[in-house]
Amino acid sequence: MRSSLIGKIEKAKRYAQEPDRVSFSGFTAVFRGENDNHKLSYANGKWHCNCYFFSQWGTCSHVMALQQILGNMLPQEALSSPMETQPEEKVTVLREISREQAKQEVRQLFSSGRTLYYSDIAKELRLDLELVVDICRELEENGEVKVDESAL
Amino acid sequence: MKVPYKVYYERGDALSAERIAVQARDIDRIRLIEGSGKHRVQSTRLRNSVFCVIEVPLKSVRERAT
Repeated sequence: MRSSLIGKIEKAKRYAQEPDRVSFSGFTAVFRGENDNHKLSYANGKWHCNCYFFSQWGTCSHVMALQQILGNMLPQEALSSPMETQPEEKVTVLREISREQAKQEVRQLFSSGRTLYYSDIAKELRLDLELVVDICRELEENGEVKVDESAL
Repeated sequence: MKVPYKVYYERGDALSAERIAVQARDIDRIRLIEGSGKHRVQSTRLRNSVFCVIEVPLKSVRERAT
């Protein structure tokens, strides 16, 4: 073997013991979770995972595991949790509209054909949860909406 | 028209479901606690003007025009 190549192999061995020489700026990966495979990516300073938990929290066990595996090979911003980096909590101001108008808007929301939970409606229409429950019970009583058994 | 539904006010009454929507004036910090097996559960406390409801998936009775 050429002596120059032997030198490179020796150097590579030394480098491999010093992972902090490497800094990932972006990558994609498939993470084999307990229930399913998940597509993960890190690009432009942001993580993404296609699991449900990530969509709700901006992080998940798969991202956290990779943060631990890659450790110092990730830039600092990739190691912080969304709890640390999130801007101020977003405040939703509830709308003060008449019950009748609220009912119309709830009807309209259901007309899209989507299956909705009380909390979805309250969030989307910025209405008081108790009012939404009250209206939905009325629409259910009138036979306008029904329980989506397939979602149970 | 107000449609009556069961509302529990008694101290000690419990709710148990897969999905519960809540709103309250104050929500304590969420604590992680060990559940059964590998599962971890989260725990918190809601205080002042608390309203909780067991969620129901609802959909329109009318089918969408295709």
